[in-house]
Amino acid sequence: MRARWQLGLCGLGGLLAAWWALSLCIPGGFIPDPLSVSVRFVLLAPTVLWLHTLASLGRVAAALAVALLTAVPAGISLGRVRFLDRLFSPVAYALYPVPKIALLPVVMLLFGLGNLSKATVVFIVLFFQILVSSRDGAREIAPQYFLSLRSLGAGRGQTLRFVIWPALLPGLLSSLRIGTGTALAVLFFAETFGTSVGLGWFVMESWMRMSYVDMFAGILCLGLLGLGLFFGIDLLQRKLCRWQRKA
Amino acid sequence: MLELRSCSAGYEGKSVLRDVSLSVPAGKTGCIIGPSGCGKTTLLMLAAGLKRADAGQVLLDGQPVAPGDDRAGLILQHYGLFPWFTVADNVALGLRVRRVGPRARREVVARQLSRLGLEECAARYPNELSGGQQQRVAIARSMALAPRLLLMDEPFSALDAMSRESLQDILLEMLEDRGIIALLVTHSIEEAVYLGGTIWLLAGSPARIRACFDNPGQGKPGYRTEPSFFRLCSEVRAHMESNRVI
Repeated sequence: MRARWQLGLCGLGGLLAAWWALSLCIPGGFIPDPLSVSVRFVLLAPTVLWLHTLASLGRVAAALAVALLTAVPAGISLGRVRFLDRLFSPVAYALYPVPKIALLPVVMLLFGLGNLSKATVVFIVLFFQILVSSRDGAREIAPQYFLSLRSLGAGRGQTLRFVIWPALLPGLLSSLRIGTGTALAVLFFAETFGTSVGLGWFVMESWMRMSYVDMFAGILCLGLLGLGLFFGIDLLQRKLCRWQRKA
Repeated sequence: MLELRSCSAGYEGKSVLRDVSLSVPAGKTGCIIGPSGCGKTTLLMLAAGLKRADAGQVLLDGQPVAPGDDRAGLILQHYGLFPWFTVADNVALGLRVRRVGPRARREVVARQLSRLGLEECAARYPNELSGGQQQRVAIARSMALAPRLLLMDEPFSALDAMSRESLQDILLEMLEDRGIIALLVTHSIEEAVYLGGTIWLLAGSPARIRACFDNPGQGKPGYRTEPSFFRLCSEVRAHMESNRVI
């Protein structure tokens, strides 16, 4: 256990060293060294950065919540009802690979420049990822589980609760982990338009001011936000999928 | 008494079982023996009320068995345990499905677990258990519902000889204790002859009953080593050979 921990620290140390080396090699201050970025980060965190982080987090969280509430039931329906699958899966497949960020202008036209349009773009990204993974998850559940539960006298609601939902969870959380990375990338871009809060705006604005230290403090903050979300999902997985840990 | 009267069944136009009749009296065990994929599992589904017969009747204590019938417990070939539930939760599942309260549930679960020597596994997950332990959990789960009829698909085929024999004895004792009717499907001749008061040979496509063996010695202590046991095993084997099953 301790060795694992120490190895992790070594890896992070290596990353910092590489960053430092890069900042020394590239002239002109385009890449500030980690120390000055960290100092700046600590300075900015309680004054400015927390506000931007909260704004970004709020948008992601809202999008995530709505995406889970809509895409999971939709995915389960597609996965378990052949008729719906045949009807809608081609649509989902056609839309899935479209870079959702390309829809930003349309979304802004429909929902304005505010928070709603930003959360909506992130929602669209997450929706398709969760839809496809829930559909596949629901479809691949071994028939013996359904048979076994039916023989105990279960109805549809109980099948959903005792078989489909738990069988789905590990895949769902994995797709959430991947989806969150994409969602942050899309959010970053969306936040460069029509807002003055959010980490995306902060980073781009710092860049315009040619304040590379500020810019990197913002990037560091984005990284930490992503890391926080990842840890959150990991924690959920450990709590909700205990049986997997012991496999 | 479990009765199948001239039952036929199939899937999407393909006939799997043709004109199968058999009966198992109360407190007795019947065994179906036959090659893999011959429709043995379909027969269990009929008896469990999970599948409707295309023709014929399935009766349990004189009442037709219909979908949703809760008198039968079914144990599938790979035990049908849910990997995401602990042993205790797996055993409690049938009771939960039937909306038995948590206190009554705990009591029944504790009784079943101790009966099958599983107390120490209560908080573990199925994938941490041996095959024999998993099969015990499956038996405990079925028994928790106090079924009138117990149906088992290849119950012990995946176990090592020692777990198999001890579990066979535990099962027989439980069945006898509670007067449960049991119908077992197996491809092992020795298992069929050790457990089945009556043994039916099922073969062909669609499958029919090719032979029926009475097994008066079944249930006697030490039956596994008696000459009559070996005689019946050879007789069943001979019939399987003449039917080109083996």
